[in-house]
Amino acid sequence: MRKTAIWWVYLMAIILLPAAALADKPVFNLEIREHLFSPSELRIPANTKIKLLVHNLDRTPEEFESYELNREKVILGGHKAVIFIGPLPPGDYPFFGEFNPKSAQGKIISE
Amino acid sequence: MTHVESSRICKLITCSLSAGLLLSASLPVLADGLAVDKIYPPYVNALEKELEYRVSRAQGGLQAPNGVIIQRLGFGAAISDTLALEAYVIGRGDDDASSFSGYELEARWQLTEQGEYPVDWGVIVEYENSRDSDVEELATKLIALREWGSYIFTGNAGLIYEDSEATGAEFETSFSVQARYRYKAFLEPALEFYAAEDYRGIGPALVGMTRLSTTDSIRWELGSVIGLNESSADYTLRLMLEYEFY
Repeated sequence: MRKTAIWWVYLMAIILLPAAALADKPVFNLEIREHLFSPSELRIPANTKIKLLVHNLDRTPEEFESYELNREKVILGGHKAVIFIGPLPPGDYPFFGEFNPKSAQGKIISE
Repeated sequence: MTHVESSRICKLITCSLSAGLLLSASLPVLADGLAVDKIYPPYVNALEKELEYRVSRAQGGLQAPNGVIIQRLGFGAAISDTLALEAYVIGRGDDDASSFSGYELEARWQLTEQGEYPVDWGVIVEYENSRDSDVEELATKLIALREWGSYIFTGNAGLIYEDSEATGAEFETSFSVQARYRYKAFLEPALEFYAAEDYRGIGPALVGMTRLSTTDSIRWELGSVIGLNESSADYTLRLMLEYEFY
């Protein structure tokens, strides 16, 4: 009985990993320049997983953070990072730069 | 990464997990330490450092008839955006766990980008040396995390090689899963299930994070787990405090 339960959990994990998980996703770009996000508002299609390319043009690192999006990612100075977001229901999802929270703010608008 | 490469990686992970499943199904589900412990997420954040304190107290069952307390104090750091290393000192005792009883070294890899696949994957390799009981352990744990809206499901499946002067060498397995609701950053209720040697337990937990300054924060977890059979500890309490900084 106990082993059966563990088997089921394992099998569910395997089932949830489809081999062809990577259909093409829409790509959006976001830049960090002088501790500001550009654009500060990003409109994305609702209920669609997207690939966000974040390019940190500053020399210092920045962290893209959003509790609403459940994402936290450090981008080193002069580097790019990929953040997968969604699919999101329609709404506003704020994000900020943890290292410069007063200036680095923005939001994703899912519509 | 191309679609074909990604599919190959997915198949490789699926095959590895299946092999782990078959192996663990053929072995007793066990672990000589306390089964109730931190359930790891698969993520590594570049530049992040942490000081971590964990304490677990169990009472009853085969593992803790007279009570057991285990404390861990660790320091960890991400050395890249996919690999983090951490070292702990451990204190263990019946009533008092203040004296040094062993150490643990841990490496955690983030295998997939968060949200890239339906399940996020990671793996942990741990080496533990218990000076008191002359036990060495090498553990590999597969981490899986699935996000459903505001609900997060995290599973850790472990295969452990233990070499002890008392019992000799043996393989063990462990499994733990946490279902968590993202209510607020400072308060996320969760339900946890643990399976290990002579142990099955389930119970609630509270998880949260509080920001101390721009880049410093405290994460905490508090859990209470009830044993589900006679051999399991009647109850296990666990607390984790994690100071994260850059």
